Amino acid sequence: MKYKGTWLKSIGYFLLLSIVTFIIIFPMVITFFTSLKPIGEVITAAPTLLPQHFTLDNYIKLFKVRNFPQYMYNSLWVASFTAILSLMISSLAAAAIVWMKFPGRKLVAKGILAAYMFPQILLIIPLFIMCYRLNLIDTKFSLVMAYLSFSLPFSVWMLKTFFESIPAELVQAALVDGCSYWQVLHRIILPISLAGITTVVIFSFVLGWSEYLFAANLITSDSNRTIAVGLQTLLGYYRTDYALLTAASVTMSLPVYCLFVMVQKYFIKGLTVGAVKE
Amino acid sequence: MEVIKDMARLRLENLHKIYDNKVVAIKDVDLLIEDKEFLVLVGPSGCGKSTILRMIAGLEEITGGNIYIGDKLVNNVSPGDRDIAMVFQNYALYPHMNVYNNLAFALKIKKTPRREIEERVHKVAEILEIEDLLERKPRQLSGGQRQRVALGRAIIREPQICLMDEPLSNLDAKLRGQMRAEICRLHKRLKTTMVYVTHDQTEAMTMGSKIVVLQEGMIQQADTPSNIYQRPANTFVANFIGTPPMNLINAEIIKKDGGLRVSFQQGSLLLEGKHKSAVEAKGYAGKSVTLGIRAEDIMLSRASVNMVPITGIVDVIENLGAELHVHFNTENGDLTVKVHPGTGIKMEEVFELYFSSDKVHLFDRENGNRIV
Repeated sequence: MKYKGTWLKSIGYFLLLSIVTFIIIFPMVITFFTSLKPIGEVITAAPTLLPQHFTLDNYIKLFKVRNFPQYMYNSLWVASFTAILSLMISSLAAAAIVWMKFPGRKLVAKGILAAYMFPQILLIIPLFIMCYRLNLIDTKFSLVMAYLSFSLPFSVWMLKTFFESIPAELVQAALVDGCSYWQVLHRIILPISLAGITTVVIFSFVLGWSEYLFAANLITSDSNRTIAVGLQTLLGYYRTDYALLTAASVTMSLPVYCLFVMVQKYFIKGLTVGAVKE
Repeated sequence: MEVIKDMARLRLENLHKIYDNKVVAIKDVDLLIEDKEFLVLVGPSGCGKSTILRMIAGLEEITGGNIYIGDKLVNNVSPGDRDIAMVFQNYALYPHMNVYNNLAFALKIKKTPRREIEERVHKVAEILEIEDLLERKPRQLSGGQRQRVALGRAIIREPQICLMDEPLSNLDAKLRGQMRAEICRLHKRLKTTMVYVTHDQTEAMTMGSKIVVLQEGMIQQADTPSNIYQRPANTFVANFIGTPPMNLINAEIIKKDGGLRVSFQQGSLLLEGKHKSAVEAKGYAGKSVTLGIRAEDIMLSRASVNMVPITGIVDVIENLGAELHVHFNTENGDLTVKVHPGTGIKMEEVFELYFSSDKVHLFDRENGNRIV
């Protein structure tokens, strides 16, 4: 009887998870299959999930129309630099906060947390004025700067939490072995903080890749546009080519999917750090 | 592995450590550790022994005083430049490196040639019998194996001084015993100055050529194990060192019948010889003292005339196999006696306990310091 109860419970959990997964995945599935349909099958009285005529024309058109490949390149540039700089600065900051003793250390940590609580939209005007005065309007670097101001507080705090879970004796052992603080960071701390690093990289990359508000305001020329803003240009005033739009959406999400697939093992571990006392 | 060292004398001069919240961790510590000595710092938790070790290593800032390694003042020298190695309580092995790389790490940092690194790693692995484990990661090792790797990581550097912070406390009793002997053998072989921290007085007594007993950041006594056991400097050392701890009884020094006697509940003992001289010279006649007597010096039968019986009721019997530690309730408090297992003692039995005056230790009742 007990065995039957367990079996029924498993079936129940499986069904529940399946329903939730379906609800989450369904929009992505529709988007994907729509991108493989000709426009005639998209706007129709009797829509179907699967295309009746599979076509890659939307993808071909996407890379020939406008500057879509340029948008992809710009987004990749901005997102990559945001992720790399975010990781470099936040790892050094977190290491200093955790292991170095300097006056105002705790205040600095609290200040970083307070900065994270700032709604991003409040920063649009001051950041715009700053970039204008520095002649950075319509440059990709202005976006990197803007995104760093959002990603750094979270990244520092995330890495600080990871670094705090590393036994202090590991750092001390490395110092006794003759390491400088820089060597301790890159030879000991970072290799064992992969979970935290991947979380920071994913967070910063996704921020840089898909952010719209600052990209729309700080970038004025078509050649520097990022993909989030570029996607918007596919929306027409009178009609929208949804097949093209869905193809663009799928293309836009592919790099993020790939990144997640590559680092998911470390990312999931990062979500649960500190949950259990070792 | 024969290693010839430069003089590796360690001198602590008037060492102080006060934390930011005004807590005094170490107060006025003066200590000289000779070259090749095996010194053990022992004391209860929070006495400052690990703090001293960390100050020697350069991992803790010194509030006051000086540390000399050889003739070199090292107060402001970074840990990596002090030519010391350290074994931590929880091993502190680098989890992302295998055993080989853990051992080789310090040599790589010092840019030692690869061939030499390989030679030294294999040599150390052979000494510690961990050659089969070189490809494994720390998580694939048992506690004892990790401890060997931690030791190997320390000795491969051929440091002037090797520091060990309670390295055996995470091991089970049997392994601890094995590793104690292993460390002693290593010390003899390597001829390195070693400073060993432990809260276990058995480890202290069996391993050190010199023991420093600490309490509340201050040195209580620094001497050989034998002297510390036989002539504890105060009641704290008397109670801390020795299993079971020394029995301590409240007593008075009285003049009676022309002689000096130490008087306690149920009787008094005539003081003779060095005991009498010391009490007279230090002016303790008529004063309160603490009488200390080791468990092995209390007998269940009278062996001489100058022995006064103390009546005791058996309260607890600890059977250690080779001997019994029997706890008696007496009018002088709880007394512990070492008894042979064949004595046939039972719970609640009443016994007369005897000890002679030449075996007693006398301490000042107020400050606990040794009189004789």
